[in-house]
Amino acid sequence: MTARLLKALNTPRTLDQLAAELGVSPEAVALMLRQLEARGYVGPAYDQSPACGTACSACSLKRLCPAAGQATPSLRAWRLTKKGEAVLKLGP
Amino acid sequence: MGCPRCDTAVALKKPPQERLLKVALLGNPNTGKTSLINALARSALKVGNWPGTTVERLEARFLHGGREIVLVDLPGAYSLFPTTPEEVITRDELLKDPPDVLLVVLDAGNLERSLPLALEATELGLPMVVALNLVDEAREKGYALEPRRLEAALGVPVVPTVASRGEGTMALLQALLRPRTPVPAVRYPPAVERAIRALEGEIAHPAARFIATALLAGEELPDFKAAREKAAELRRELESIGVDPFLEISGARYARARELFEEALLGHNPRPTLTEKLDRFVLHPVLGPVLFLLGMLLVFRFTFLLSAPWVDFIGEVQAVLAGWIAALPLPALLGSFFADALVAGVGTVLAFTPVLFFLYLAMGFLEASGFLARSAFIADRLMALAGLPGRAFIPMVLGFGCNVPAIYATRTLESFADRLRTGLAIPFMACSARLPVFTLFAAVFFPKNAATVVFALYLIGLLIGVLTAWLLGRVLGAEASSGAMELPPYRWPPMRVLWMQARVRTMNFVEGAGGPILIAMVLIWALLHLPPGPIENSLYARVATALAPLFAPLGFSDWRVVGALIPGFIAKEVVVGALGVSFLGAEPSAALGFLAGAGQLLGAFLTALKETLAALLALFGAPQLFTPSTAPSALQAALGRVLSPAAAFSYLVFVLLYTPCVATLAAIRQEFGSRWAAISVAYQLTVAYLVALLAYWAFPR
Repeated sequence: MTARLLKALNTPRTLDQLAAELGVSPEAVALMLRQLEARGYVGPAYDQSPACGTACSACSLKRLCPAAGQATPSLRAWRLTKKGEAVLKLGP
Repeated sequence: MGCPRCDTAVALKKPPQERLLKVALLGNPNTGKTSLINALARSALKVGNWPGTTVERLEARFLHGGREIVLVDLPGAYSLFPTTPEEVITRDELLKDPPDVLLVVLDAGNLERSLPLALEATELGLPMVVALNLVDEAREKGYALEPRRLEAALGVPVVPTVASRGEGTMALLQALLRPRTPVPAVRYPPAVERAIRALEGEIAHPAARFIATALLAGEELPDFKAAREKAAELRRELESIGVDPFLEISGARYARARELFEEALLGHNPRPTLTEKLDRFVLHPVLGPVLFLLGMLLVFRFTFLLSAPWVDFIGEVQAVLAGWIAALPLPALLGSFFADALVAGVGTVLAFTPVLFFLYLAMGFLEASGFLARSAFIADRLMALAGLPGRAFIPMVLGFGCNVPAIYATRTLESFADRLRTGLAIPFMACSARLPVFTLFAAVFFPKNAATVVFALYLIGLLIGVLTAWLLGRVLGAEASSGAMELPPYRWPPMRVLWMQARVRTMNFVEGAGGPILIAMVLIWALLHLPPGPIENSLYARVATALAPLFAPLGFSDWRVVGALIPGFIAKEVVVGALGVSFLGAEPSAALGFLAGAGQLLGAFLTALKETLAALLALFGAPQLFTPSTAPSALQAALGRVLSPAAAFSYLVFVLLYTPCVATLAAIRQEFGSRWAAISVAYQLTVAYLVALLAYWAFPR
């Protein structure tokens, strides 16, 4: 099941789409992703750049930008890490 | 960690009914464990901390059937393969100081998510009881569950409860006195089962099977040194045959959890939520992108229809101010400075703040309603199909606001190739600073299709950017996108918040961009008046005139139009201001009396109000009550005299694509080095020239 989830991550999908494909609930998918993330198989696709908030000081539109300052992108998204990709290649 | 049961062997010799019965509650966060303790104990709870931590420890003692029972609330956990400090405490407590009875609390409304933890618990070798809590919420969600099927599958008592109302607590108390030790409920793939059995023999602990799975999966357990070494060896063996023990073990548990859930489920009649219904269309592989494009077109239509009357109004304010300045007894050069540098230059840029305000309002609506997150997902998928780094879409979307933070946001991408190709694509995204130029020209040359033309420009920028990233990807051999995305539910955003947000963002633009624009306008005005005399002979005009033949093939060779591109290199906002200074500076305003000007302003204000109402009606397809004003401003009229529509479109394409502004260039240099910054400028100038040339010749005449 978890290995199938990793395979399904090869193309971007929503949790609902993944749940439908695996035949489980979206909550179960979220739980699996949480465990996979903790063990380094998947990682956040969009996290806050360390440059944000410092590089934007001169920008007149920084308040428009969700990556600026303290704000973090509102999306929660995951992607395969090198470890996750390696496991997929390892599989029988 | 030794065998806890062996350590307490003396205590176990006491008759069972004389011993304190320790019951530990295990469950996911928010499954109602605390409510259950309240319902069972009906007494004041003892609250403390778990040793060495700040995690709250809840305990309650009470008598039942002549037996003293202590309930211990373990920190909420989704798994005993921990990912949080709370889960570590729970696992360690269960292994180091196991209870007499393990009470597993399941959330009936989220049963499938609760079951993997229960399945892990069956491997602990402890007497166990299951409370199927929140059955009322499960019913509300349309789930009909049969606890007896779950009981048969797990081999332990399963008691349905609604802890908040005390339902099922008596039956649960009875069950706690008659717990059963379950048979492990998960069968792993044969190779993993063999490894687990080989490892179990090394572990002297009632939870040997759980410990063996944990060690085999690579979990860190403080003790069991010999078993740990053996587990590492077994793990290597499994990996050598293409088996990842963690994935197999967790995968088998989730698969078994699904089976158990389906076994326990008598029926499910879920009512699709509004979000689910809408997502069938919005996330549809074909309909989704179409709806996304239509949504964006609507954003531009909304922006232009509602902002146009106020752009005209500010243009009128400019004309009145210029007239009042002309009426003042000022020296000619000072009058020109006020009228041309400040009113015409800075004022022309500020005249477009209504456009930004309405754009921010519309984008704020899309963002807060949940539509923007879905558009990111759609674009992510489309980019992945094109072999592009889909997650690069977020930095690219940021580029529509401002290219500078977008360049820095590429740091979230892993490979240098992905960062570079996204970074070089971002300057093609039409940042807000380019919007005033688009608006000004679209209103003059394409009055009936202004929104469509500007929308097309945004799309051209996106397309060129994506093509750039794709081409670089081919050259650098970058890989395609992967991933999953959690989408928020649709919400109707509070209008007051949207309004305030748009106002703050617009003011921020005015405050941030105002200073640089003022400096640039004063400089351009000075260059236009050096040496003193007609501005056609100025230093600025001479440089622009020298460059003009280069742009003749693109359809524009007027020195004022070409000249405005030069300060645009510093900041794109300045292009419109430069056009204002150079065109209007040559046309002195007629003097205007105070009262006449005030009357003109009042009239313009009322017209703007009427036209806003007309625009609102037009937005929803209703017939217009008022005919919008079509009189062009002085600058628009001047531009109309020197450019054809084809040349204007070519100019817009060039402004969209040509060199990044200085701040963006600095960001590119910082992120990718001077060589790539230089390549970026050369590449963009070339692309801008070629695409503008194509746009000029292909423009329908």
